[in-house]
Amino acid sequence: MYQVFTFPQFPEERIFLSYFTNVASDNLEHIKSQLISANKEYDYCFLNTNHLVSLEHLRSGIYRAISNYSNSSMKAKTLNTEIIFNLSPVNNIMDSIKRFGVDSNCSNVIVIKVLKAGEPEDESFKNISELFTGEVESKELTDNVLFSLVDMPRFKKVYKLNDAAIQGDGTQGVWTRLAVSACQLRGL
Amino acid sequence: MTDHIVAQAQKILPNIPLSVVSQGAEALVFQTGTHPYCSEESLIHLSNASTFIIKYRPPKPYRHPKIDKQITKSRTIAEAKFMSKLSKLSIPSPDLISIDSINGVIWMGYKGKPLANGEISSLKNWLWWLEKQDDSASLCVSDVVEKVFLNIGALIAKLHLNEMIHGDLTSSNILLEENHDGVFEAVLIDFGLSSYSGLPEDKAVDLYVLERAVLSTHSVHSEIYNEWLLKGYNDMHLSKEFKSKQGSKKLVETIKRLEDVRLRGRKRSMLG
Ligand SMILES: Nc1ncnc2c1ncn2[C@@H]1O[C@H](COP(=O)(O)OP(=O)(O)OP(=O)(O)O)[C@@H](O)[C@H]1O
Ligand SMILES: [Mg+2]
Repeated sequence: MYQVFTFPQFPEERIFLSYFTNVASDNLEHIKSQLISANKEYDYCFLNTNHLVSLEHLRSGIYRAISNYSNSSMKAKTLNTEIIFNLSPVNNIMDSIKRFGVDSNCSNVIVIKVLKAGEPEDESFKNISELFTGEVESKELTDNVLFSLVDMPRFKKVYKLNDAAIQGDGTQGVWTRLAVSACQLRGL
Repeated sequence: MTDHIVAQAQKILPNIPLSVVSQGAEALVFQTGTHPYCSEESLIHLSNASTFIIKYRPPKPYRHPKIDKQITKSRTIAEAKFMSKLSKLSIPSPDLISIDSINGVIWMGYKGKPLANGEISSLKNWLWWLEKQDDSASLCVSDVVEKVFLNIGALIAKLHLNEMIHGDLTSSNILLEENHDGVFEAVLIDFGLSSYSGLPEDKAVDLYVLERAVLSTHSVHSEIYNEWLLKGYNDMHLSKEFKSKQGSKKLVETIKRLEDVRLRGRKRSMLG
């Protein structure tokens, strides 16, 4: 199961997104090692769900990454890493990979692939589940799913929101606003 | 002139329908129905999920191109950061959606709701609209108006108590948004001249600018309006939240300064 979307300003960049649950930690360790050795079969952006509060938050990071790609102002070497970097409020690529990339303790994994202008339709995304072993399940990624999975204390810590003047527990909307501004302003 | 700038903006923002809302000295403000990265309204966590504002600072041909780029970039970033700081403090202001500092573009949430006459719900337009109603004598100084001014005074106090200065407080840079209970809540916009300062002088000038703006654009009732503003400002300083944070001391210092600033203003106007 996967979704495909584009952003109005960048109609040629097609974004493919899948979401898997129940991914075993040895499977995640394996994926991590393949990413480190730059195995072409693993040329995707893998994210854990611990610090993602909503789809708007996730998309704001993908958007900034694609904008940077299109202005030739990417800081990371690949668009996959650029997406991870633009979800992070911290101006350090290694740190953002550690927080937002594959985490062997988080069994929920989002996989993203951006097909750039002129790149042929990628059949591999249809078979993306082959990268996962065991009892993994492919599900639709929704706002509710993200909000139920986000690890609030860790999210607040990463985005430095423990001192924010928020009433009560805060809503998904409130946390989205704060996370989006932090992502959009990172490094500026 | 505007056409040319609109064309420039359109080039930076392909496929985004733009309609001009306002042209100021420094920026062109557009309204659009397109969100940059969320296509379905259900994904958008904003009070208005169908209209958005784009503030665009075009290149200034009279500045050296290199210096111009730096100025545009730093002002755009400063304004977006100020907005983000305000959301963190829960001080009502537009929500940041995205920023393209190189091109001088800030994409933000639309605040307020057009008035019955179709105009933007700024404090200025709202008061002028009230003045035009049949029953204007009682409408202009009603409890609703009083609440709005108290609320604005409190908002500015919150800003100042966090050592933030708006820098351009006018009745068009304050928008009114109706909340769920039908109460008008003030929203601050336009942080092009904003800064950070704890000095009573800077806070006093901020208040004075608004006082003058109220006097010149809403002169009939300006005295009572300014009184309400200051009451809201006072009350917030003495509130539970800020009393322990030197609220009353800061209040005394700022109000004392405000008197000096008013005096300076009067002297200056006497000299012409
Ligand atoms: N977030 C917003 N929601 C609704 N309307 C807005 C918003 N931001 C700006 N506007 C409208 O656009 C006008 C101009 O915006 P702003 O004051 O930020 O620009 P400016 O170029 O600094 O203007 P000026 O120089 O005239 O003060 C505002 O007076 C208001 O009518
Ligand atoms: Mg203005």
